[in-house]
Amino acid sequence: MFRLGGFSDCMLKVPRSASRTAINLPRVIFLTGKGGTGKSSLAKALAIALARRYGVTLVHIGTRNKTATGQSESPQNENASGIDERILTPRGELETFIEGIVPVKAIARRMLQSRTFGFVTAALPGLEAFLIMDRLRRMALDARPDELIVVDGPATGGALEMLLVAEGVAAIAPFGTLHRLAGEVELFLHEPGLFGVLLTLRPEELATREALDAAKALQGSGIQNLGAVLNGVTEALFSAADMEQLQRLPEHLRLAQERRDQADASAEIARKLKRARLHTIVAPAIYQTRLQQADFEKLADALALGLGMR
Amino acid sequence: MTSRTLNLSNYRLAICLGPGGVGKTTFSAALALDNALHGRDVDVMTIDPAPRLIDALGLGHDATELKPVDLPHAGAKSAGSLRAMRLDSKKTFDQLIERHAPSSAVRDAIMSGRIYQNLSNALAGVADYMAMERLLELYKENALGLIVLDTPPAEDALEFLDAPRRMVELVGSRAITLLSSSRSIFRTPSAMIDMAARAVLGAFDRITGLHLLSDVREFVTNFEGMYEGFAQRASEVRSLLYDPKTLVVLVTTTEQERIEQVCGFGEALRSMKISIGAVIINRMMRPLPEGREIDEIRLPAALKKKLHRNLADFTALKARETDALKVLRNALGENTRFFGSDDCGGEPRALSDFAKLAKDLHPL
Repeated sequence: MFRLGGFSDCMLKVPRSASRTAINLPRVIFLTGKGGTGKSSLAKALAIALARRYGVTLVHIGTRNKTATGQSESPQNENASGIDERILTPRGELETFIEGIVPVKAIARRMLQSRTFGFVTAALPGLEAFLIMDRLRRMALDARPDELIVVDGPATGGALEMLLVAEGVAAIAPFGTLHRLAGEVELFLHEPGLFGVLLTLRPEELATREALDAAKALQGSGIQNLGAVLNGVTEALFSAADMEQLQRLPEHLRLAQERRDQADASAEIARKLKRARLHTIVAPAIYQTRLQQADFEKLADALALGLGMR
Repeated sequence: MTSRTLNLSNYRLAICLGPGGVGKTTFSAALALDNALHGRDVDVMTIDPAPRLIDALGLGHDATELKPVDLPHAGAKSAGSLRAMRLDSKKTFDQLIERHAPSSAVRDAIMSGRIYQNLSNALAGVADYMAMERLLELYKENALGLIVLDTPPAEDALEFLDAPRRMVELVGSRAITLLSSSRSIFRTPSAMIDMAARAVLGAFDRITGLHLLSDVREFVTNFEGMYEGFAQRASEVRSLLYDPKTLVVLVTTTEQERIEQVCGFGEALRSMKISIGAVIINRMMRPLPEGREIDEIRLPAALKKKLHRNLADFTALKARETDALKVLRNALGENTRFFGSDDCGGEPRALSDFAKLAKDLHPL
């Protein structure tokens, strides 16, 4: 495995100026897509691919009440492949923020526990989502020059809310701390060297529509879209001539047809993405009961190829 | 009555829950249609339906009131009726304010306030609560029939089902006392704490630059007179969740992400003492053929090899599905009935496709 130490200087610089890749990788790569498109697996695979060359932190975004699905309880740990993993929760970020602006710990804690405060924060749409974006911004700025951050983001709806929330916050708070932060988050999100979104989808109608809508929304807001990962792409395996010979095995014929249909759907969706001028990265369908390390490496290879990493 | 697997004839309300994109709305429509075809008067409330479902139901994009749906076998003497609507939470909220506001001045004050205009949707799950509010209306209106409720794509089922309780808590909480200028707080033992909290909140407001507190206070004060009406309706809605004639139906597919989410739902519902009556596993793989069939027939070796590979691939996927199902059964306990819906390889489009979906449900 390639690790940083043994490589020439150009490898150690900021990713942007590293040997020109097909896509200049920003410091933070934020994955989002429809539920069930394999965001978490792809985020992990991307982290593995990038860790072959850079330092990588993999960030999971938890939901309001609990940690991200399938993650260990410990908020921070370094796993075997040298990838730093951490979980950001809305609640945790809110607590950090309050503790930052209310200097006396006891009062900060009391405030966080009071229902009144819960009411006020509930009345602020997206305050928690906003604080998560601000945390990502600070992580990006604090990162070493050779470090990348992969974000296993929420599903498309929640993610777009998260990406667009800073504008709203700036409008609600015309001055003060939040207003200043909102401006900084906006700058961060619109700096192609710092932030980019990678959409995930499967060769299915609804997931595709969601990805295309998200791409449009990103374009409208001027946030860099690195492309779309079409996950679960399969090959037809059976030719038309093969199919002719399978008439006497109706059940196997059906399975073969299913395989061909899936391959057709993959090709059709890939064409659609191309028409929408989305850079498309193809990730293969993995036929395994449970994804093993080797499968993640396979996905990582596909992502590295799609992102133009040599 | 025919031998339907998921029989709702003993229920007055079916609530479909599940993660986003698993076919919740599809099955809400399918169950509603199936029951209408079996003689019930059914109302189905959908939230954010896909365009194809709107088309199938003939809803149009602005059908925020109940609209009769033409049943595929209309004229059959056993058929009941089906009405469908899409939920518009903002509109329902407006109507609610109109109904409960003590005067038109208060109503206008609420509706024109910055909070109501910009933030009402974020207020303690107002959208979720609105679905429940509209549900109560329908429930009272359609006294003998069946109501099928599709739920918003809540990340956490708890948030949706808990909305009535939180709403009551919100309008009746100390937040109200604290934020309104009512003097009563000085008489409570916690007055000192409240005053400290109020000072801290004020500081928070200034430091963050939100200057929102006075708006919130005004909003809350306006709400004060409406507490009684709200609290009563919210508790009525809440009691529906525990009614023996209510069936909670969880819809899911078997991707790992979804299964984890659904196990979380199960836990949350258990903590609220709401039982999941049925689980529908959508898009299940059909049974696989035998591998030896391939060997017993004369075919080119290369093709046989492909067939074996294809079968092995699908077998792995089927095993993944079986594992997921096992995890789900363990998490949800023995009292939940499981039903499967086979992957039909496409999205249902016509009304008859929806009827077939319900008919083809099979016990697992």
